[in-house]
Amino acid sequence: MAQYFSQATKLAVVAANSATFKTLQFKGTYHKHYMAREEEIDTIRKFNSAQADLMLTVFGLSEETFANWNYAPALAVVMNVNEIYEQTPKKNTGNKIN
Amino acid sequence: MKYTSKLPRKTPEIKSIDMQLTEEMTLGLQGAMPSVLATVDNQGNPNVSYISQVYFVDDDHLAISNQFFSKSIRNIHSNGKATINIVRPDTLKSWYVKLKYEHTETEGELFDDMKMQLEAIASMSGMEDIFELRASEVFEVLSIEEAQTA
Repeated sequence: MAQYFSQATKLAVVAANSATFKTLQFKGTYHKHYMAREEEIDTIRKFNSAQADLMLTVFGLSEETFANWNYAPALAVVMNVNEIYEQTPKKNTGNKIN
Repeated sequence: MKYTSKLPRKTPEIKSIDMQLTEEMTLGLQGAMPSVLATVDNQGNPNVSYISQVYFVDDDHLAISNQFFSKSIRNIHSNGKATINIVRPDTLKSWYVKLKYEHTETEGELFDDMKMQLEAIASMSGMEDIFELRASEVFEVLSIEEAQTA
């Protein structure tokens, strides 16, 4: 992934709340990246743990199924956010909100 | 209705078996974890969107449901390029599938099958009144890259 940053500086990221389906897309430009630090690894692991709990509740799958969710990110990427779009699934979604 | 892309056709590249969809990937297409669709406009501006349905057509073709994502569809119809990230929820194994747009279907067997599957996905997620299939967008698989997790 890191090799792409020297070729393309425009970035777009989509993020959703799995419980509410609230979804936003962030558009902007690449600022920097570095090897993920403990704080970023901890954040992602907490997120994945919560996500796995939700998936267990919703889909009723076994806990062993989610043992693989305890992965660590390799890179942290910092971007300048220029635009935010509403992308929650609903009619006429996709409007720019900021 | 079916129409074919007006995009210029290139001579098909020779594919190895590694560039075809495999049975291992199909669990990532069942909607438990939504896939992410990335497109780009002709000025190089990226657009990413979650998609609720990726449909296995055959070893070389996927279809996605066109519901809301007008910007993604505009980009795809304009330059034919898209990449989908699919994830197996049980192993978190993930693939980036590079695609070339082929055609759009708004009726017929594929459209009906996708509509029925989308209704099931909508029912699972409480979105019965929101998910409505407008069209099936069919793509050729150009290449598949396995994403690495640590």
